[in-house]
Amino acid sequence: MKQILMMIVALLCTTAAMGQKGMEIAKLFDGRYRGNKAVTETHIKGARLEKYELDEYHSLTFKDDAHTNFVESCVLEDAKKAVSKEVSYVGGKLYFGFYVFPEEKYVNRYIFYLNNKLKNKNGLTVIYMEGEACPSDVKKLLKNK
Amino acid sequence: MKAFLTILAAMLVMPLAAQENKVASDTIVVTSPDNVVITKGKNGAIGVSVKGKGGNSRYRFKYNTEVEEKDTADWNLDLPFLKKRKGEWHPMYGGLNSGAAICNGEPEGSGLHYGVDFGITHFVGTRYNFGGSGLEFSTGLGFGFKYLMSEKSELRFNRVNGALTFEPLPEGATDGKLSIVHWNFTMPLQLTQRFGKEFGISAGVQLRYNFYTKAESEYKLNGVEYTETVKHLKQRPFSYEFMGAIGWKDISVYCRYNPQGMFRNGFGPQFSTFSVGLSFFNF
Repeated sequence: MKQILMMIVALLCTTAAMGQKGMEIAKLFDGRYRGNKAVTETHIKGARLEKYELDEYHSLTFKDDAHTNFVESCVLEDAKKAVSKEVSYVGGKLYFGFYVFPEEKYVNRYIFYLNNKLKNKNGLTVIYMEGEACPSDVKKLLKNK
Repeated sequence: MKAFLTILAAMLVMPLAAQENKVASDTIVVTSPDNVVITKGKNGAIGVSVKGKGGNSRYRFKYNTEVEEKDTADWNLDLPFLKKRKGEWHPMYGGLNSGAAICNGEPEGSGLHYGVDFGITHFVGTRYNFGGSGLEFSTGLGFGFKYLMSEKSELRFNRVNGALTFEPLPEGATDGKLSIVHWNFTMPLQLTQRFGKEFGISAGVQLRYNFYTKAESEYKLNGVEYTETVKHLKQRPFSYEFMGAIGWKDISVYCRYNPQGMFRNGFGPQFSTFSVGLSFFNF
């Protein structure tokens, strides 16, 4: 019985997504904003993402400015390791960024950042995604209306 | 605005002329230009146009920075998988299972302890996913086969009034063996919960229409090998088996438990069977 349980645990571990392991934004997704009414956290894994060749989608949307500097600094720190990036600044502040990170175990990792407050709209959003989807498909997904 | 920029550029460029020999190789210095125009595009692109250089009125220099037009206004963060998805039906074909069957409650002395379990889980089938939650329902039509056997038996089969019975081997008989072959069509009703793309667990019931059962006895007596077959047995026409499976990609480990006997009450031995094995292409 113990061996069977160990086998199941091993199987589960193998399927577990990489998450933000080794990334600065892991600090954002460690649960610190759960219960904060000004922050919306969405975390999706599994079959729902299958069609889009993604394994994980994790996002935070901030209604107020309280955490903007911290979020931006985490994203910019990770951005140093990105293999591809598309960014835009407004008034010296990061407005949006789409970062592609080195593939690990055939899994691509992405960070998307959008600070709509800089254009007098609501919300700062940071998204972490990982999966087999290629950068162009992920970008297409984010631009798809 | 352009005029102001022109003057500004000229003022900036002229003092640089004195340092012409000191500038880096990727820098172009134009001394005493006749005319400098700097333009700023809406997309942030900057254009520089210079006419004349150090008394040479034919000198022309034109440069525009390449700024990719980025339409940042059309990011759509209302991604399709964030919306509540409707359930969808998908077809299923194939699917094999093969494993061992273990008998429970078999007649003492029969030696019918184990056997082989084989089946095609879906000739044709369908699965319904419940809106992306990872939960799926599947059903279909398949085929099943069980072969129960004994390596050593002290009994042999007989038919008495249409019922399969056991009786002792004839006196002096040796190497007694028994086997029962059981054929059926199956209809699985299965719920599967997927975790990620490749891992899942499932549970359900397999409904069975049992259409044929055959029993066979083998033994040796006085150096002669005897094989006695009892056909057209009165098997239970409809039965069910509880089933569970844990799957990874196209392979799953399954188990099934048949709490009912193979035969109608009063028409054969009543014992339950437990099967465990591997299933392919069923997830």
